[in-house]
Amino acid sequence: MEANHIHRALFGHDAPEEVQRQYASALEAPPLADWPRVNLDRLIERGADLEALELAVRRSRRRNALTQRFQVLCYLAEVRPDNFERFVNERCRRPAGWLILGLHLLRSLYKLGKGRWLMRVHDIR
Amino acid sequence: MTSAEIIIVGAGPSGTFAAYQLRGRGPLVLDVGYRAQESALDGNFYELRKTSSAGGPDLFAELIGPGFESLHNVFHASLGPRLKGPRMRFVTRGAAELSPVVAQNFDALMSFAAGGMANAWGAGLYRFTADDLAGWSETIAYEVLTSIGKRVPRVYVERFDG
Repeated sequence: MEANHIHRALFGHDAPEEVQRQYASALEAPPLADWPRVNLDRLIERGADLEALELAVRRSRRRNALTQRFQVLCYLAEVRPDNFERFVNERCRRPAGWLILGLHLLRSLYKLGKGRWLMRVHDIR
Repeated sequence: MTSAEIIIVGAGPSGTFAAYQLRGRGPLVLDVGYRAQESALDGNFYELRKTSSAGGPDLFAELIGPGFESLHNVFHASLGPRLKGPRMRFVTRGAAELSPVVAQNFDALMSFAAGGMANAWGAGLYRFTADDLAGWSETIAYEVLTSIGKRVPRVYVERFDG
């Protein structure tokens, strides 16, 4: 459920089964950062915007458990050929690139605001 | 038992050149000597990343590693991007046990690769294919590059008996 939720936030659809399995295995042994102490399952059940929350949490503390989970899933997704075009741009399209960059800047500001609000709502400090 | 008047620890560039300078006195060069695994992939890596699919080359093993080696920096102190990859993790394998260093204000980084860190860089790179070097044949011939690649690791671990 967790892998799916994060994958949906990053790529817009559920994680392939293989990635879900790898994500669970990758998180088994190593120690995650001890902050923030949140019940992820409950946040996911409530439909919380984890992407926004992660951005706000990362601004507060660079090394944190939520960012680590996003990083793991991102690394696992990156090696899949079906995600190649999401990570590597092979076409020269400068105007579109600037436009996308601008839109994402605005989106990030919106997500940061939303994330800070979520941190207050869920009492994360 | 081997005895030697001069013992040089580490067969990296410094150790190798020290041994070279001392040739004739029979220096003994000691090196832990881990070696990189040969890549199972064949062909242009960039193309493989685009086209690999089920039944194709195992990019997970190459890029993430069976023990999730590439995720090292997510959970532990940072290693350089080259060293954290699955094919390069052998360089620092067992560092805490083989040569423990406890420090407050720096991270000790050491190489246990045969030929030192410099040789490890070469071992961790994907070799150019003949297609990659097409058109460069007057400057870099594929056959020459391949023959150098085969010779270098052997040169580094030779004993300098003068």
